[in-house]
Amino acid sequence: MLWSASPAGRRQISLEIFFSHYSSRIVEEAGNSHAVRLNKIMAANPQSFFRFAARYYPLLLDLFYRREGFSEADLRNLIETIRNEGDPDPAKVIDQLQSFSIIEPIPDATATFELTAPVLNLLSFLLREHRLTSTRVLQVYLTDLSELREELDGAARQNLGHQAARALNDISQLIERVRQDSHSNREGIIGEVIKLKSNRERRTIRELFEVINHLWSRYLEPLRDLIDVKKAMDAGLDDLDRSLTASGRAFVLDGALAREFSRCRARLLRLRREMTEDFNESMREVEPLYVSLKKESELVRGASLALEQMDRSGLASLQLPEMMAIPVWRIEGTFSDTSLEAFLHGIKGYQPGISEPLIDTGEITETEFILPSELFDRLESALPVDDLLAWLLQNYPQVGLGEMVRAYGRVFLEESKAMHFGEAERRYPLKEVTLVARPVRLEKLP
Amino acid sequence: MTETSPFNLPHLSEIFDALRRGRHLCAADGKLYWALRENLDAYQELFHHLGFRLQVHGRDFFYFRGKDSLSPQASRMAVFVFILIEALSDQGEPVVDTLMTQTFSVPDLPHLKGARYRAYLKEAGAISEDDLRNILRQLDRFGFIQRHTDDTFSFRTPAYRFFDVCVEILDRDEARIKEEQTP
Repeated sequence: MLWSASPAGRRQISLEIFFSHYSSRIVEEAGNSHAVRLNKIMAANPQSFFRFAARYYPLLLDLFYRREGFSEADLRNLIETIRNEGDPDPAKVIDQLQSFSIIEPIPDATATFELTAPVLNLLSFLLREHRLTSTRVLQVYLTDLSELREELDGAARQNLGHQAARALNDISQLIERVRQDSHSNREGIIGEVIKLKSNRERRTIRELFEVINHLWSRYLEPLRDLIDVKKAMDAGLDDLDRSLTASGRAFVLDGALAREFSRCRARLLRLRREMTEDFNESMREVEPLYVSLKKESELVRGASLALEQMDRSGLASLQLPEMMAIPVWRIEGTFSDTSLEAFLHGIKGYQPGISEPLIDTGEITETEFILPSELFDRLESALPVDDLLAWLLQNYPQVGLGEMVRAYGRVFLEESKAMHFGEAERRYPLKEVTLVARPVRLEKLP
Repeated sequence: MTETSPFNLPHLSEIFDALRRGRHLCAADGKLYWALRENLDAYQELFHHLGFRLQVHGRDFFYFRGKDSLSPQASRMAVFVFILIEALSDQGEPVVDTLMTQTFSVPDLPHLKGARYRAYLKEAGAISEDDLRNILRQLDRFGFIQRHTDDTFSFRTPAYRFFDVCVEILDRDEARIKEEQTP
């Protein structure tokens, strides 16, 4: 019962609630014996628990960060390092740790322990090492709230004060749990963001983005959906608020209960305000980092992909010159200003000397070119010609093969003469080659 | 040219000369950058009529986008930057921040330290520190880096063009995968 009349009673109830999470696991401290009777369950004295926790705080802190568990040997060594003269031996301390339900064996391992969930939660809270609650869990709470609201409405209809008080108590506890989880999420998210920003573990950009993307998609996006004013949560809390107002009126004459109704509405109002605040604060921390890591991650993935593609299909496959499109400017066939200036400087004041006379060697140089006009004149006067190629070889013995064939072609294409081809092929030996052709007889056109 | 001429733009010849050679102009270029920025419309119109495409990047720098004659050096420079991006990420460094603020030294570069990076560079035609310096000269020429000494340099804002290329390659790949998955 949360609404015990006296403050002392309320504290006692709160303490009970505080320990209700783990009281079923607390085991009896086994007097002066090392034996721990795990099956004999009874409440540990909270004062003894906290006194022990205070004495062994460095040990608890060390164990808290060993999330994967610790062996009995590790535990003994850790106890030895903080042991003072007169302190109990490690075996005794291990027994005490178990008897206070601070540690318990890991199910699938021998002589290996882990912190119990309630102690882990307590230390998480004290060390601000918040663990994140998924939005699904919050949704379950909200469904529970909806069911409790119906219970409250029923109690109000039947004017059952005790039933209404019980439902109201459960609603208050749930509201507080949601509020604490929301706040814890905010702290947890901010803590993660700080860790990511400092990046002491030297994680790669991809790893960092995976973490932030996880926070984003698992906690923030669903939470945004959840607190969206047009969506389920808001409608559910509106309904609850209406129920609290209406049912409160039914018990207006019961002063204590009426106050609890009023307090519960205040809790609800605070929850709505703080959840939105927690969400906005979380977003404010996460969004810039998410955006920047997303960009960086894309950049790194793009670079790695380019290198991979280059490895697989070659550099050209990336078409980087086309993507970058950096222009190249080439000026061809012109002088640069400097070289032109140097050239002009060089020719300034230049006085040409007397040219050297051409020397006549007396040798007759034979032409290797058959002038078309001369060819046609000579051929015209020689007509009829029985064999054109033989005539050319005879009349132009000095020219090479190329020029000979060119002259043959010119005559062949010229249409002013009658042309007759012989039946049999004939061989025409030249200096380097032998031509084979049918003789062409040329006559004047009639 | 009269003072009222539309072609009488400040530092026109220097700006044109730089841009047509593929240089990227940013705030670090001082008077050329400011002349271009303060007369951007006039410059854009003039260059457009001359057949050049003046690009204004979102990160506030300017460059010509080539059409026909494109620099083949782009490949080597891009590979150089891709390797640096990947290596910085693997070291857990914030890539863009580090690239844009740190001064790099040739002997400390990761490019020739691992076999995989050496293979990429070889494909791009670089095998030694001298080749790396040659790539740096190209990066400097086009305005992507500022060389402090022969061996030290820092990136200038136009290096964002390489980041754009990375994202474009990723987008292209994702589009291809999407297309393949579409029945």
